[in-house]
Amino acid sequence: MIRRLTVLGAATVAVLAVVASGRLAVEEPAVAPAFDGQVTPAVQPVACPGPVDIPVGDIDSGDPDLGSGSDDRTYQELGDGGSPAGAGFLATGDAGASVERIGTGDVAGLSAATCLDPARDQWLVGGSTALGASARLVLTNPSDASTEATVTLYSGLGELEEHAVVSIAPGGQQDLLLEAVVAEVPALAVRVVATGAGVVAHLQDSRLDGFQPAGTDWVGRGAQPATRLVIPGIGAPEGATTTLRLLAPEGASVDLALAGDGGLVAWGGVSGLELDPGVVTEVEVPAIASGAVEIRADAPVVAAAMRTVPREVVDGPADAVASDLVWLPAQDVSDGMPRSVMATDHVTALTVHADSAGEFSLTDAAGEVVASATLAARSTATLELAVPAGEVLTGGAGFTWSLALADDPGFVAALVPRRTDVVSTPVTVGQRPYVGPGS
Amino acid sequence: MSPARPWVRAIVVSDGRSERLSEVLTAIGDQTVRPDAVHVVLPDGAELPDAPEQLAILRHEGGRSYAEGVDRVLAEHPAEDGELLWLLHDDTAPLPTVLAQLVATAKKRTAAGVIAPAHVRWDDVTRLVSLGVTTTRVGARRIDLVDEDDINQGQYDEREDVLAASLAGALVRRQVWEELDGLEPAYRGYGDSLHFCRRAWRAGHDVVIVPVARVRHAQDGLRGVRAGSSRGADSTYGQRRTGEWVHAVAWAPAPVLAIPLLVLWSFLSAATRAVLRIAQNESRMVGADLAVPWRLLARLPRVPAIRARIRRGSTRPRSAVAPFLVGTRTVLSTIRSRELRAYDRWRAQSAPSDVVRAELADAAVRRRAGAAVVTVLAVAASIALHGTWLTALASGRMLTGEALGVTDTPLAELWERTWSGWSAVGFGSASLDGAFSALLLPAAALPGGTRVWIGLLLGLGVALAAVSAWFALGAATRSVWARGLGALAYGLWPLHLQAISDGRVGPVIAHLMLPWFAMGLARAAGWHRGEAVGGGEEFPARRLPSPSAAMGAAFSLAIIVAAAPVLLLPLVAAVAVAGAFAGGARWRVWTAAIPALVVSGPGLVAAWQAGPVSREAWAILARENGPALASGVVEPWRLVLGLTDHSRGAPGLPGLPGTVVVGAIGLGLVAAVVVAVASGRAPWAVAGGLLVAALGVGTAAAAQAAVVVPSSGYAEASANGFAGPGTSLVAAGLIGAAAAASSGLWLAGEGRTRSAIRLLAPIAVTLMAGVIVATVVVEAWPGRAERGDVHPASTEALPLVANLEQRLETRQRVLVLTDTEDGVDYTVLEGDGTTVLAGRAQTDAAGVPLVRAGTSPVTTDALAETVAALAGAGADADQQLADWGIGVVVAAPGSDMIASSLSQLPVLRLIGASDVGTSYRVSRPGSDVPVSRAWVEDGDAVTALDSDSWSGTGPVDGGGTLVIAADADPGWVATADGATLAAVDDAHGRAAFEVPEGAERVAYRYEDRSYRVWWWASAILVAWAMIGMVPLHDRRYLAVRR
Repeated sequence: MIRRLTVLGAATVAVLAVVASGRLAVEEPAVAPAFDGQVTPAVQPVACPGPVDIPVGDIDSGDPDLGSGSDDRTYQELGDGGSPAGAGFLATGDAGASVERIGTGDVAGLSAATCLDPARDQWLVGGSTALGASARLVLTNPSDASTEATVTLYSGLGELEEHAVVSIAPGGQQDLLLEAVVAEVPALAVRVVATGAGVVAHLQDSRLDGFQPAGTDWVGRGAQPATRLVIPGIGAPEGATTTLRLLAPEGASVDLALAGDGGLVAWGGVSGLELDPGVVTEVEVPAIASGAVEIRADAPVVAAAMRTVPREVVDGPADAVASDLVWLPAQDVSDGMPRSVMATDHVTALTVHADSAGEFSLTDAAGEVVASATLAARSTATLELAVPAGEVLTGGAGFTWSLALADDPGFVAALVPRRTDVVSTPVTVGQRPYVGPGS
Repeated sequence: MSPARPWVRAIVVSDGRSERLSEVLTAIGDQTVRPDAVHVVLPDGAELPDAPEQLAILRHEGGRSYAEGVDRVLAEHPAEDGELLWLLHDDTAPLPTVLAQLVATAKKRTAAGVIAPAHVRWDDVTRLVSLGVTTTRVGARRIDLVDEDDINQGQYDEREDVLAASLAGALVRRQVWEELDGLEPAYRGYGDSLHFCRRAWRAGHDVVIVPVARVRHAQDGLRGVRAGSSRGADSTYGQRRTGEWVHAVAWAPAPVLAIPLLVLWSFLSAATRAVLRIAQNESRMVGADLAVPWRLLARLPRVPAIRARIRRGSTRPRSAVAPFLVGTRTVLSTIRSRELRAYDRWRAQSAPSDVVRAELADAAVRRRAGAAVVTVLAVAASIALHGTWLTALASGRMLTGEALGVTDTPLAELWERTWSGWSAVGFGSASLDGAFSALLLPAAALPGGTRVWIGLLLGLGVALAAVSAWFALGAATRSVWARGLGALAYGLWPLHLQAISDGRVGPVIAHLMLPWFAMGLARAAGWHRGEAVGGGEEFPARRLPSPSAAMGAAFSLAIIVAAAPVLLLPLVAAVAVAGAFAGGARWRVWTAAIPALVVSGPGLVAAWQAGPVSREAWAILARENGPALASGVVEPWRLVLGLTDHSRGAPGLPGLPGTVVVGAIGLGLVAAVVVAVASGRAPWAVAGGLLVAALGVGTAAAAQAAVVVPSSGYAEASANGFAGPGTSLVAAGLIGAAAAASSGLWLAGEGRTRSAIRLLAPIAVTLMAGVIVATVVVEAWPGRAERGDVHPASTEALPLVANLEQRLETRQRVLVLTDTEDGVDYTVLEGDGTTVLAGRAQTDAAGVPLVRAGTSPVTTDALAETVAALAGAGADADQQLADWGIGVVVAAPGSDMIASSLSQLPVLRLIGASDVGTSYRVSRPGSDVPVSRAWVEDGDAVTALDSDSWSGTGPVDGGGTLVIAADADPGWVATADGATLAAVDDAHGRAAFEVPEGAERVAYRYEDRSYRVWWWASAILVAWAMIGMVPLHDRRYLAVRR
């Protein structure tokens, strides 16, 4: 009997142990927070891509009208302490720029590029590899170590499988013809991710319409994906068309607005625009004399606008129309940092956009105000500008602006200022055991 | 009576503590030839017992020793002509004819100085006790010329001249006694007869034994009866053994050379014998043996006098006694015959009958076949589950994993860790204990090192557990089927499989050792089953508790708690309860907990200091010494079935059906135990098993509910306790209970009950076998997700250049950087990859070492900012790296972002790029001296020291500051030319000392006294248990002694 009770007692204890164990308070294991560090990269020289290339090469057909090249070329490099880097150059100052005027041939037009500092991750919204278009990506490495850039392309169908990896020597430059990577993409966006100190990327967008040049310009990098972007300098003469190109890496819903000198201008059908992840979307912008596109999204987007300015062809076939194009990358309105640009020849005007009401002034290196305006919130102003080439112009914080370049016979270009402060980037640092490759 | 009869003076010396004196006097009175005078020497106040009337007894007041008593008598009574002394003890009773026989011989052998009788047992005159003794050539071992308790069949009757014989009951010529000045007091009564006889030979006399003259000898002194000792002959062992050494020293030729050698030899011999005593589980004799050389030392001052007396009294050369001395061969044969005699007696006591013998042979065949089949099946299961690991090991790769770390850990690393108590992980920290690295030392010391042996431990974990369980289950049941199924179920216990796949080495070892512990405990208490013979009987019918098994249990428990500390409390509780029920073996059983408690000592102290009943204390008790990682908390019923958070179904069987399939073994065990409870068979064993299982559930649930490994740095995960060790207890308890209840089931019941049992048992066995096969199939199913992340990998975790720098005297650390989504991960490495096998230092939730509560040590968190700077190619990172002895920065393969950032930095020099990473050398800013673990700096002048993980040394030129690139723990000690240096504050929190001007050589080391004390205590006890568990003559001696 005692034995029986012992066994039953033990069984009861065992069952009770199971029941009681279920009532223990559980302390969940957790992961300690990582260290949030800031990386302030060393100041690197800014780099410009150099002169434009003629996509088909300099072909002399004997007939100056039919030749691809041109004898009418002026190329201007501006920047302190310039040193060559491939075809381009490096400058040590805050700003640098190049502008090139090509009178005839396939790439006739004004092409201006703002020299930029290297970045590890950058988006260039612009370019096309459709028939008649060439997109030449120029990667310049101003740092002292070689770098490796991974170029990812986005089209109207989303991220493309085709991508390229380019190694760039210290102080060197590499070209990449995007039509060689993927052809027949009418609307491109390019992401360049580089190692080390990063790389400076410029995209030469050159187009032909039959035998007629359809414009050439440099596409510089726009703002990093952000939810509030502005593209100032949308204003265009009669006949010009402006196209806004948008891409949301993770998808977004976007509200577009057009700000003019008198405030917001009606623009129907562009609120609540849904962007699929990685898909390049183009939107026609209404014609306006002076203005800026405001982009407000619920998730980060990148954007740029392209303006095409047609002109009549002198000495050409009847009805032939040539044109020039200008790319305006978007700027982030929320950083509140001043921006600078190097003035070049052909600078004619300044378009400024105010996110909130205020007094805008543009100063030169000596601090003299060269242009100023009082703006209402969400309005723009276009100011005539006459400054000598080589002047570093700095605009007030809180405004976005760009310089318009123009020359006869209807050549246009733009210079977009860049932030001159050293941007520190957040980096997450954690500890992790290491047991070898692939761990 | 012949007038020529010599005059005999009988002298009986008594210390008054023997009750046999009156019988001795009676025996003297009964002599056919009476002595001419009988003297009884008694201490003051002692009463002379009744004596035969015919004896005229002269009483004397006694001295302190036997010799003194004799001398007193002789002093009072002048010598007669040709007087013979008949020396008797109060426990030696001569048979009636003894004196006549001795006197006859004395007359015949006129040269004989000593005429000794044979000694026989007091209670059995046919059994011999002594018939002359001799010694070895060295003299340090007394050799009896007969086996003790040998039956006297007259086989020694021809014996005459011997080197020596016991003087008790012997006739000694008074002239010889006085010439030799009596007995030598330095022997304290043990060995003085041998000495006296040997001197007699050298002095020109003979020593003659008379085998037909028999004296009953109770050996009261030798057996400790006089001293009231309960230990028998053991109580005088030390004195006797010392006497033998004194003899050797006294008679050694060339004393200047020989005596130091002999003393040294006595120490070696004592140490060897002590080890042997531990192996024989004669723990009390260890002290006796170890005391012998010290006793010898104490008696050494008297040796010159002894030797002088020998020299003066000797007329014959040494060679005269040489023929009597024996060599090594005789010694060995004496020992051998003693062993054989004990064995024979054991056999005679426990020999089975022929019928039983045949049954035992059958059982042995079944058992061996069963063991072979279980081993083959278990190995096959291991291969099915982890065969790829085994082939990888064969091809020179190692197992690795997130929790496991690298397994190619060098012996030196493990040794330094356990010996120093300094954990070199990160910037180093004081560690609680070194048990885990000590546990893995054997694996590192064997050929192949930890790579092979930890790999095999994990790869063959299932087979090893099954085989262990097979042996242990033999104590619970003799049914080969029950043993086999139980063993395989234990080997395939799902949480064991989980532990193997996670690389949790500790729980795996605990699971393997638990059966051995259980078996040791059962055998220590004598609860194991005998072999089943006949109609349900067992052979041997009465199982004796085994001291060796208790030591085995102690050793296993020490291993278990080093591997899985969480099992300390439940298993010590189990030992305590088992001991309470173990009757006479209770102390043996209870001692099984001692080594484990000492090994866990630092942890217990830390838990106590954390507040004995608190969550912190439990977290310390449930600490993980080795690999650990977070695991999902599951309900207790799942734990009983061996299910983990991972056990979410079999291939194609999600949800409940999958759970049932994966938990089938657990379900089978629970069902078996329910049947066992219902059957009422083996009630105590079943109850015990259930209680162990209950303890196991509680332990497992409590372990998984507590965070036992706090996160130690940025982004590091903390880990809760693993339920595995607790559920191993559950499995062991359930399997043990079911197996115990199954014992003898085949013969249980009668009539229809028996028929039913014999029908149902095979069905149950088949079902369980099916469950086990299904488990292997489910676990090894090709499409099934791995339970854990252990996988084979190359042993080369770091680039060779980096690894070489770690091994140089400068002991540079290596910083490994890996790209992540939004930043970089880093780790500071002391060896080739993250090593977890050396054991954790054990910190509290705030990251402070448990043994340094209240301090705020510097950890590798201090490097986070530097790493961020490196990630951005920022400047000045090299200073911080060199400050902490980091000489090489490695960008992991595939981490291009960080590699290119590092390439930007001019202060880092690329030293190699390979498919195991890109390495950069860090230079010491402003100095050509390479980065090192420790150095002396004086302004810009730097001298690097040679270091290992916990100490270093080197010449210096002038003074300065000694900097050790490790946390400024109070345990650091530094010296310059032997003088202790004063610690100075260091801005970075490193250990720093001020080196005075003119110092030539500095040295530093880590020292932790309490760690050292625990370490030695643990080492000694574990070594004791290891030696004691050797089953040396266990059964024979037991059988003979009881």
